[in-house]
Amino acid sequence: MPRLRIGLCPTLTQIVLEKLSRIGVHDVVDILTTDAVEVSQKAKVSYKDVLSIQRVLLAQYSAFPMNAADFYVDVMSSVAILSTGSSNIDQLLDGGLYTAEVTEVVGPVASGKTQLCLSIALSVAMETRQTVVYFDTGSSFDSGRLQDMMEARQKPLTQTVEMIGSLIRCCKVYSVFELLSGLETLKASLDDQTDKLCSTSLKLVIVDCVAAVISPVLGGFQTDGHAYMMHISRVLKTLAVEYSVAVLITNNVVYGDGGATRPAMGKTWSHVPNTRVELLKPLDSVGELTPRPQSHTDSDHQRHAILLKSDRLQTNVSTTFVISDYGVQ
Amino acid sequence: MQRELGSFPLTPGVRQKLHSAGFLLVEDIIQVTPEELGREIGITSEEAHDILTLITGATKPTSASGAVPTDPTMHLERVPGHMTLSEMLQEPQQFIVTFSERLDGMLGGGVPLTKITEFCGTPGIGKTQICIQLAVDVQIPECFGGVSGETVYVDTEGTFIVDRVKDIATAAVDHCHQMAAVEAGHNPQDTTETFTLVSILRGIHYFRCRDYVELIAIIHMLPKFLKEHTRVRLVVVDSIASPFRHHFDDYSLRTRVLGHMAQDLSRIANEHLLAVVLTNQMTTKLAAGEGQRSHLVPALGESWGHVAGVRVVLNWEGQQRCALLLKSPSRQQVIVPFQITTGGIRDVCSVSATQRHVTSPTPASVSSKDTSQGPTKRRRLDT
Repeated sequence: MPRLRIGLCPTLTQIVLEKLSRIGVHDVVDILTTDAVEVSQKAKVSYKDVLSIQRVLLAQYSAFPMNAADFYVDVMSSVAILSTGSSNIDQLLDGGLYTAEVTEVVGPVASGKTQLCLSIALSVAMETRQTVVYFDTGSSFDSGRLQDMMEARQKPLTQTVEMIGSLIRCCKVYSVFELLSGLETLKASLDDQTDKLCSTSLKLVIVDCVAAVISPVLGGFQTDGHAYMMHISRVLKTLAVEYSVAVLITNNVVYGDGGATRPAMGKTWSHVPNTRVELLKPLDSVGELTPRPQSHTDSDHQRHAILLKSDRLQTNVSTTFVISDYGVQ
Repeated sequence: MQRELGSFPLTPGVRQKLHSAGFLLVEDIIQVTPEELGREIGITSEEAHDILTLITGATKPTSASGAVPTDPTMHLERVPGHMTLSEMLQEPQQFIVTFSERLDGMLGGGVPLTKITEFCGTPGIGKTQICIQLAVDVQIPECFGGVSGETVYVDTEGTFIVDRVKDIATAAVDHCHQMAAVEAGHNPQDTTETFTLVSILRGIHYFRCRDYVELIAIIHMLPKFLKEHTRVRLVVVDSIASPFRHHFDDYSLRTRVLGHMAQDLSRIANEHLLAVVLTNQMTTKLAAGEGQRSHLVPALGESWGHVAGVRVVLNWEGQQRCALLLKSPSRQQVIVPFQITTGGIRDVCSVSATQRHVTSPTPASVSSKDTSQGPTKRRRLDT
């Protein structure tokens, strides 16, 4: 909650502010959670003033109730469903990625997480002509691959390539602070009416991969890693809901007890995404390094996707998709 | 601005002080002078000044742009490392060739700059040989389609043999001179003088490190070194695994240290436009349950596997050395054979029909300029 300052409400003058600060009342929460009588006695401010400050601040900072019917109309008009470009995955996600939601893709090495992200980014840019911002934490964003996909999907004119290319924006970030800073700048961009990003509407934010920047600060004697993780989760949620943007993140898996895989970053993070999809390579090719000279079969490019968590769909449903020149199909 | 102060790289102590004094958002702190802030939260004015500089520096674009609304740029464009796809496509991906055409084909043209490539394999399969080959090949002059760079070679195992470098470098120099003689297009005199065995050896900066602390120290010092040696286009760490595979009791510490190092290497690769090549050992993954077999996997665990953008596993197939592309952002999984000769890494000459089918032939991501200069012509060198 913000710090108390002059101008928040008419009765909050310089003198009152100094008196309050002397008794340790600095911010909005402090004054709202302390009893008005106590405040007025300790700080020697008139009881009426304290009450009026509290009333004004409550009105300013409380949430307004909303009628479910209005909310429904609101949601219907603002939520968009972005197709992923793969009919199977669209079906799995009930149409595609929803704006105002955080979707997480988890999977082991080379399960197709980045391919899915690149393919969705391109689909959104090509189909809806809207901006995609891609935060790349591990140098996995491959412009050549995107160009190949674009060429496989249609024979594009040079202008189209230019146009679509300008819609996909990539930020390379290497630490948790750079990611936070990038996300905050993105928010500031969206707030600022004069900003160029406002004229081309943003529909999708991708963070690939979120575990790469969070894992190094998590655990051991570092107490604030957890705080940064939750901070990122909050910023991602705010971004999704307030700016009605679909947020797509990727996460690694770790081996738990008994050799079973589970998503990285633990239980706390597992509450963050609204929807969680696990990608798997078909069993026979997981980690197997036995040479298979005739390995150029379809099963090599085939992947399974399992819905692990969803707000509105039955979970543990699986589907398959193929990674091809076209992208993810 | 509604950004929370918790999102800045401040120490936990300072954050706690700011929090208890009620400073939570950037807008709370932006109007305060260093003296006031210092008095308020009980730190010196200098410390307070540092905090304010950090915060105003990071948020300046927003506060400044209010004064100049005509500036049509986007906030996001001021983020370091921001680029649009079309800007990226204007800069063609550059590669370091391996002297094996089919290995290059598998990788899409060679070992890519700005990315981390990892070679994994059992002892004696040729990981170090590939590293030495790349350390030489990165120095091929631009007129032969190379990147004309230098190498930082971090050796953690003590397997860097200068004699081998000499062999491989001599073969590379000979090959380029032959090419220069065949193609009368450019003046052979120029390159013969600049691209020699001595110049290659001079272009390799060798670091020997014995434990993981030294390795971390070297990687921390690298940005400074690279500022002084701007031509470096390849950083080799051979191997990344050995310092981390023993004397490590705390595995979660190992994962964190490795995670940090991965981000540092990734940053170096991008900011200095160079290729990072790592080698990794193999370890046995025991069968987890019924119906599963124990098999070899790259060492250092699951989370390390995400670090390298390109991961190649080298293994024996009968008497034949083979490379399997396990992970790549742009290429499909394939296996290609290769051999190691006195002159370095080469294609296998007699290729059976089935194996030829395995390689995907179109290196589409190689820019047209690159192919016209002919990496295909360059690489054919039989001994």
